[in-house]
Amino acid sequence: MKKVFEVALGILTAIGGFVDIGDLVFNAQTGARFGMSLALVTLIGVLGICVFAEMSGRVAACSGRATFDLVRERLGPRMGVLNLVASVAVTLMTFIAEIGGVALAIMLVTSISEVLIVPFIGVLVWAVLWRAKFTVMENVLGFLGLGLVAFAIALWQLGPSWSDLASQAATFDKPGKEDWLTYAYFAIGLFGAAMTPYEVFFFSSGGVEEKWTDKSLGIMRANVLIGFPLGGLLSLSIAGCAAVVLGPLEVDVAALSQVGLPAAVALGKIGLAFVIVGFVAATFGAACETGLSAGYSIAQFFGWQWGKFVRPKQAARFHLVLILATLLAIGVLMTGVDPILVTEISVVFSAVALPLTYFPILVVANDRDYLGEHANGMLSNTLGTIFLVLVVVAAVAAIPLMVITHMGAGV
Amino acid sequence: MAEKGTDERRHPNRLERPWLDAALHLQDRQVIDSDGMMVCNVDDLEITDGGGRELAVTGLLAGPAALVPRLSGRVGGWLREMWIRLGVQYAGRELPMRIGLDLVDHVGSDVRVRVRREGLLDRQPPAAPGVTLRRMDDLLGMSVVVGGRNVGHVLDVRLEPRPQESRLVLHSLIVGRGRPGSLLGYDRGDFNGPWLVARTVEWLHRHTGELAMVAVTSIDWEHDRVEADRPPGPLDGR
Repeated sequence: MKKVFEVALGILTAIGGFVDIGDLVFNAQTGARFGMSLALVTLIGVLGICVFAEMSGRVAACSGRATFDLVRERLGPRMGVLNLVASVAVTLMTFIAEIGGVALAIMLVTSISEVLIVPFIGVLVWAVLWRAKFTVMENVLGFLGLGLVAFAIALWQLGPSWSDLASQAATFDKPGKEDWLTYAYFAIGLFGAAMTPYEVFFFSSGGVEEKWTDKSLGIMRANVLIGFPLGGLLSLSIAGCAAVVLGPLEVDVAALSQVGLPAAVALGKIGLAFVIVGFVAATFGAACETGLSAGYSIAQFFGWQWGKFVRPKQAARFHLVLILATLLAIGVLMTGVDPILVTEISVVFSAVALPLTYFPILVVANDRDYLGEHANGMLSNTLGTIFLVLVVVAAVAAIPLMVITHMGAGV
Repeated sequence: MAEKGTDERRHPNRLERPWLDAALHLQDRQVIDSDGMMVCNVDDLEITDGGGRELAVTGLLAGPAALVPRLSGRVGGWLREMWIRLGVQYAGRELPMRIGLDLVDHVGSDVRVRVRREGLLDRQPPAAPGVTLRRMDDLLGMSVVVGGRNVGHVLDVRLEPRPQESRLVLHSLIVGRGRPGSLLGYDRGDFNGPWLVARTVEWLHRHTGELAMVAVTSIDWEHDRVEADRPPGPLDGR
């Protein structure tokens, strides 16, 4: 029974961990503009994050080493430091976007300008990182994040032509008014939103925090293989809702209120309430995860004590990084920069930075010295290699596409 | 606090095996204290040269003074200058922190020391008379010359533990083309897969071999050159 509970909680966390501000924004945008024609990319992204997280979780469980430990160990300090700078920059950008996302979600209810809310959110995130127990933080936010299930119910209530949505998803085509380059840009955005590097830093470091051993592999796999796909379904229903409600109106999603609009249309106030709780929980949870991930990466690279399994006093440098990251995020958001814009940029740069951590993990997952019988088998290696190619292609194409399409505005 | 002894059960102690590799198994590993707390990373290794004995690793080096020089190249040079400039008033700015090998009792997926971390790191003491202290990173990457012909670079250094003497004696050099670290561990025995990566690394390192230290006639630390009297032999994966 205890095990069932543990698995359920883990899955819950993985669902919440999958959906963050990047998924909310990119799925609604693509849904509104491209219908379900990019659904396949989300599915590929979900499979990718499953492969990546499963490998890094397995490595963490068997070797006791988290991602950035291994990055430095395998690539050496020179490549490692480049990797660190790039990954931390992207993670911090995502952290800023998530805190901005929380503020936007709260603005929907309070109508107070998000710039005024930001400092409070920042302090609250920091307080959680400082005080809250790791599992409490994960589970409470994961549970509240289920508010996003309202999107799935809303889609069902909207009663769309399912065969139409399915045929959009199944055929390789785009709406006539969009061009292929913009299509490709949004494909990379969805892929980057599904496979954000911080998810893996957090997942593997969390595994080390919770002292996984090779006996934890079953639970870890259940979390990944059930939780992330369920999170992917939520992403698809957000896109579906946007396709049905916003698509015909030709709305270009540029605000969080537009992301939530379909749920309000379909389910009224109650739907909107659930969705907003879901927004707050998902973005707040992701803010905690990205903040911790920035701290994890830096501390692991330099060998400092990290983690929430020790008292803050015992991991002073790690907590100093968290404080500085929070101050940075508050400072950037106080300039009044649009959090949605930060989100879009962070998602695209996630795709750029992904191979830097993906590759070393793929290599270490094959090291029998560390993993023994749990080293990658045929399936993991086949999928791992396919995704290595995909991840590299996405990374190379991301910035040129962003420039050519003016961040998706069209060529 | 990490459970004591977990890693010992999980990963056999490399100090009790016939050999370990400096770059692959020791450098850039996490150092853990007797309570399971994290101390630092192994930023470099101290090599003791002279005193009538063979070259041997005698300590772990840590801190910016050990790490920054390894980020070689223009950026590394700039970082090193910055590091010194930020603390011109401090003596021994370029002296790294050191942990003697006598304190290390386990090398697995991390490096365990037998004391608590509080006050553990102290500056590297000066060398005894007739002895020069070198750094592993200076040896890695040196070009290897046999009879005037360049046969490659030092990619890794195979060490033979002598636990009673708290030393890791340099046993052989792994010599090949490319750069240290680019082997990714693919040369060491039991490593299968992903086919694409493995074949690529294998191809890049098709000339990699092992050169016993007894074949090394001189090491020129100034000009980064190792002279040997015979070419490297095939690599023993074990």
